[in-house]
Amino acid sequence: MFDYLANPTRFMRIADLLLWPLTVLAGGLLLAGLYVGLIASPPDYQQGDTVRIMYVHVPAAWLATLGYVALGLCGLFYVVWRHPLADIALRAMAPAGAMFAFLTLVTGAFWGKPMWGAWWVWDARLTSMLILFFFYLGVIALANGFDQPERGSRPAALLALVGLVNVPIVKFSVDWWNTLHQPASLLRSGGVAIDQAMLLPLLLMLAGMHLYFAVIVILRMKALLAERRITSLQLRQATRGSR
Amino acid sequence: MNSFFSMGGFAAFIWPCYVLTLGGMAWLGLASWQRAKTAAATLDEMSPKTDD
Amino acid sequence: MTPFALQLRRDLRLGWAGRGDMLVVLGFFLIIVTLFPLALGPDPAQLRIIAVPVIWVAAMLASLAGFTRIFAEDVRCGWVDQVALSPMSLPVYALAKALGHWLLSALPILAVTPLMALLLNLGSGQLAAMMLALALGTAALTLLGVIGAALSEGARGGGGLMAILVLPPAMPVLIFGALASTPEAGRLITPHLMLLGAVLAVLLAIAPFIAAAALAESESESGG
Repeated sequence: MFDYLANPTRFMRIADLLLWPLTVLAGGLLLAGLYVGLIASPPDYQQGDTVRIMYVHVPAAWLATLGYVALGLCGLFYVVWRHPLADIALRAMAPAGAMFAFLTLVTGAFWGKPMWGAWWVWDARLTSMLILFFFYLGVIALANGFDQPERGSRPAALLALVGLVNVPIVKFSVDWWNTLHQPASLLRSGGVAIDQAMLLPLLLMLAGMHLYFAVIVILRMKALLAERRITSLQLRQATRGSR
Repeated sequence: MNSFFSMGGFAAFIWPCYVLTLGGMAWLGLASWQRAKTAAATLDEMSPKTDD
Repeated sequence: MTPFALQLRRDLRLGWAGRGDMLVVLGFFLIIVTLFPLALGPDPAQLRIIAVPVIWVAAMLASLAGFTRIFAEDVRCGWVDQVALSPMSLPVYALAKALGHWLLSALPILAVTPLMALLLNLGSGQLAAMMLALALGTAALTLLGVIGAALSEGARGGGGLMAILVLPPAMPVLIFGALASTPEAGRLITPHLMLLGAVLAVLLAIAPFIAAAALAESESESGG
């Protein structure tokens, strides 16, 4: 499938076909999720209404994590198989994933204050997500860090690839650190036994936000491909003019 | 209606989460869409037009 | 002599000739450590509590200062192009650079650490554990620095970019290293130390190849 999509023109055509259906589907799922999550579902027995934060916090956390895995895979495709669209996909995904990592941290803080009484706690999940956010910043900084815009693609791809190895190490080390330094009883981040009634809005929001992510990536890839074509056309015109 | 907005007293925590998340998603969506539109328009201008 | 040894010897000679750079890293290390008593107050009991974390963080930040230089001169004068054409493979070259840099930058830091421990009132019992952990930790850090230097060669952003690239992956090294530096009941080889060793092993396996892949790119960019 990835070979089939490697041709930029073909990709653009398929992307254009998919864009509106995906957008409508994402919008519908998000609206349904918001309705069920905010209105048509009960508050939690222990946490009250604050459990509703879970419906945005958990999908954001999933997207941040899966987004970085996808970033690493793009890096792999670019470095090893030289897939022509892999670096475009990487540049498209990185800011979106970074935004969701940031949202995970912020919504986590807002969830933490009523749950644990503090805006920020150095628990394992939030700490890992913070470090993941730094990893995103690194990829973005590197991809855009060269005077020649395209020059950053390969380093960023390599960095994303290294990140794939690093993320499990970070997760493990933070869990290790957390269990050693924190008394086990205090913090059970998100220790909500998912009630049936809460599963539905969570799944709706998960699905809706993932489809939204896909829409954003397609939009940004279109923009990047067009910009790349513009640059090469400009180069061609410039060299033609100088003859 | 009031109980909806007050969210059992946790309004100050719940609403910022939703506003920030949905707001952020809307902003990213709009920015990405505008960027794609502008790039496509510029590309159209620059590409040689086939008149046949 | 093997190409690896030749490269190492070259780097050690050049590094010794320019040993002012080494002193800058050392000076930075000392200065960072000094900042903490100034900020916290001279109470020895308080300083002992923060001694291990401060020494680790200071070692990490001071090392950062040297990473931008790892490949800069070699790329500038075309040495990397020569290496790419030579029988020595780029990963071996990167590994030699890493070892050379560790010997020139991290060994001095290790040598000065007992003095830092004294300044921060760290008990002598803990010193051995911390030195061992720092030896492994700085090695891991150097490998991360080699990756960061190779990836950012030619980029703007200098030190700030290097920090963003190197420090986040270095956080597990810090976690395990700090834990390994404060063992209970006089055990030197702790699970924490072994985990630190495991991270070092992973980095030894991947860093040379990542650096080589990045350097190959910058070499071809400069028309090599």
